[in-house]
Parts: sequence; structure tokens; C-alpha cells
Amino acid sequence: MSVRNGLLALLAESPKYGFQLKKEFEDATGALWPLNVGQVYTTLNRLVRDGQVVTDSGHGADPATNVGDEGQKRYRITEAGRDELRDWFGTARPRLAPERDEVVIKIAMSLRDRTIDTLGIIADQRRSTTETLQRFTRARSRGEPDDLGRRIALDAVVASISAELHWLDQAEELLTASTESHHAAGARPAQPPTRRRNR
Amino acid sequence: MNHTTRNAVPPSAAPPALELHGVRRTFHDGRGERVALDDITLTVRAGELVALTGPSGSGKSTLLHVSAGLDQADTGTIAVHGTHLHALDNAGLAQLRRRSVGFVEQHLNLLAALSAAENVALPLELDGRSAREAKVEAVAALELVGLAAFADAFPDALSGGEQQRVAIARALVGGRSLLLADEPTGALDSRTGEAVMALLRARCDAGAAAVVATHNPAHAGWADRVVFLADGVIVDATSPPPADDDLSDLFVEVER
Ligand SMILES: Nc1ncnc2c1ncn2[C@@H]1O[C@H](COP(=O)(O)OP(=O)(O)O)[C@@H](O)[C@H]1O
Ligand SMILES: [Mg+2]
Repeated sequence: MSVRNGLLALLAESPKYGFQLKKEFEDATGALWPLNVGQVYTTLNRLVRDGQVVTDSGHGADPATNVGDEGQKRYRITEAGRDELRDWFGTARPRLAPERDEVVIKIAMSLRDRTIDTLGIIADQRRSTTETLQRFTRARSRGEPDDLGRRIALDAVVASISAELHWLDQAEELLTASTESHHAAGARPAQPPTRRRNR
Repeated sequence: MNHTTRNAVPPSAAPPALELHGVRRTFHDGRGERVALDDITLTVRAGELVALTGPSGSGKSTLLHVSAGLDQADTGTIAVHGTHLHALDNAGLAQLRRRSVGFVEQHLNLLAALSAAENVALPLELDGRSAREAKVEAVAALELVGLAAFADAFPDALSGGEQQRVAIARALVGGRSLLLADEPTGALDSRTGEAVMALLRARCDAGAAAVVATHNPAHAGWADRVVFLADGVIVDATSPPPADDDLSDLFVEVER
């Protein structure tokens, strides 16, 4: 839905060509999510099918914008398209449970097998995720300082990566506490001693 | 990922800004011995920003304190720009601190009775510089942190972020090249904290070296290297980003 509504928002400004929409979509969000051209046209075709967008013929290429060859289609939003866009802007998106997260699944599965070193998995993931965070932080500081769209998009990435790191710390604490209480109860350690911190 | 450092500092013969080797520090309390640092080995070069992270009690503050000579290691060696701290007497240590090492405390600790410039000038005056000379350098340091216009303002007229930047100017004044900061963003809101990290990043890009303790991952993200401490041990560290990293693989095509 994000590409569909994003394209509608761009078309609400003025009629546009497909490649132009691709570029403007990327620019608006700091090039965080490049679109492939096929994706743009598939989405435009659906919008046309649903009556939210109509095509202008290429003969009418706007001399003012000086883009588009003869035969290229230019897209124009309809009243129905404007209605859908208004709905999108006017309705909070329900925060659903996040998509299946491979790291969560990996850690949960590792708990079932005593030969797997869950604390080691957590440590490796923390290092790897932190390296990604360092790279995104660099990417963010390289942008134009007054490109607000880019800044907000990259802040969103940094915030979600930070959240994963907080969660990994919590998982480690939880696991360490539970391992220690097992020890106290005289049970076999839930984790092999390898890579244990000297707690 | 290779281990090239980001800053194209020529691999000169200059010794590292900070070098810890086999450092151990224990404390004794009623219940016995507590190992705050255990066999810590760490090298920080000019131009490098290192983030120190780990749960509370993991030894971050102790590591910074022994690095600044504010606390003494039981065993191991610590060198600042090649000078071994244990070879210095108290006067020598104090001088090294005043000239080479800037320390930013966790809590804002400017003197309320002194203006921003006077706060920053203080370490230079303690080092025997004339008041006039110290003032000139203090204003230059305030300029580095973007606060030249606030030189004559008193701390209580400054925001938390501004005060923290004055503290950083005080740590940098007189060309001190090693910055040690203990959770310098802890008391700040996230935007101001980011600004402080950006400032430390800029000072390192200009050739300083810094070690910053933080428990905020977003702030650690500003570092070249993130070092993870647990129970006084370096348990892990990230690799510095390669110098030629164009970051393009971070941006992926949208599927839907
Ligand atoms: N002056 C001190 N006296 C006794 N124990 C101390 C002292 N300073 C630190 N410690 C102990 O050393 C360990 C590391 O502390 P610290 O370096 O302050 O950790 P962090 O800054 O990561 O929270 C903790 O167990 C702490 O209780
Ligand atoms: Mg501390």
C-alpha cells in the first residue's frame, strides 16, 4: 500500500510520467527504498484498473516539463484517487505485530536445543546489528542537512535497529538470569559453558 | 569487512592516542574483591571515535578513569600518546591531563559562578597560562563546539545540550587531543544527545581521538568501533567500517 499511496500523493501534485514517479518517490524518502521500474508500472496499471488514475496520451507531452517522448504515457489522478489519498492521510495505520523476524525465530528455536549456544548467537547478532547501525549512522550524516524526508526516513531505520539492540540486551539478561536460577536449583545448565561471560 | 580505518590518517609513526595493555583494576568492599577491569587491552588512534558500551557495572567508568590517570590500575600499562602513565609522578600526571587528556563527566559539572569562557579557560589557567591567553584559547574552543556567541553566558542561562558542549570545549581546550567522555549524553534529550555525538564525531574527523561510554545504541552508532564490556572484560568489538564503503547495499528495492 505504501507504493500505491506514495504514487497517488505524487500524482496529486501534477500529472507525471512513470520514470519521473520512480525518481520522485525515491527522492522524497531519502532514496532509502529504491523502486524498480517494473514495480512502478505494475502499480500504475492497478491504479488505472481501479479508476484512481488515468493516462494521458504521449502526444500531449507537456512542453513546460520537457519530459517524455512521444508515446510515453503520462498519468493523472482522478477524483476517486484523491478520495483514496485523503483516506490514507486521514487514517492512522494500525500497528500490527511486526512481520516474522528471523532473529526472534532463531533465538527461540535455539532455546530448544541445549547444544546450541544462545548467548553466542545473541552476541554475534549484537555485533552484526551494531555494525549495520554504524553504517546507517554514517549514511544519515552524509545527507543534505535540510533534506527532512531523508532525515526522517533514516531516523526511522536507526530507531528500529536500536530497538533490536535493546531487545537483544533484554534477551541476554533474561537468559542469564534463568540460567543462574537453574544453577541455583541444582539443574543442569541450560547453556553450554562456551562463550559464557565471566559473570 | 576489512579492518581499514575510516579516517585516511597516514599510518604515521606517531604512537596511538591511547593504549591499554593487560589492565586490571579490582576494588575491595565488605564482601571481598570485585574485579572492575580484567585484562583490558585496547588501542585508540588519532582520528578514531570508540564507543564503550555494556551493562551498568561492566567497568566503563573505571576504564575511562584509569585511562585519564584519575584512578590507578593494579596491573597492566596505560600510555597516552606514547607516555606511560605509571612513569609519571603526580605532577607529571596532572600536567599530562591538563595538556593532552580531556575528560567529560557524566553529569554536567560546570562551575555556576564562572562564565562559559571562564569554565573552559580554567584548566589552562591552572596550567600557568595568563588569563588573557587562556581566554583567547577558551573562545577558540567554544567556537569548535559552535558556542562562541555564548562565551560570556553563565551555565544557568544555557540549555543542557549547550552546557554539555561547554564541557566538551573545556575537555578540548589548549589542543588536547584525547577525549574521554563518560555517558556525556546521559542527561540530554535524544536530539541534543545526537548533536553532542555529531560534535565528537567532527572533532575525531579533525584528528582528535575519543572514547565515549554510552548505553544508547543510537549514540554508539556514531563510532568507528563499538567495544562491548561485560563484567570488566572486553567481550566483543565491531570492525571499523571500510574506508571505501559507499553504503549502497543498505538501500534495497521495495518488493511491494
Ligand atoms: N570506587 C569504587 N569502589 C568500589 N567499587 C567500585 C568503585 N568504582 C567502581 N566499582 C565497581 O566496579 C565495577 C565497575 O563499575 P563502573 O566502572 O562504574 O561500571 P559502569 O561505568 O560500566 O557502570 C562495579 O562493580 C562497581 O561496583
Ligand atoms: Mg559508569
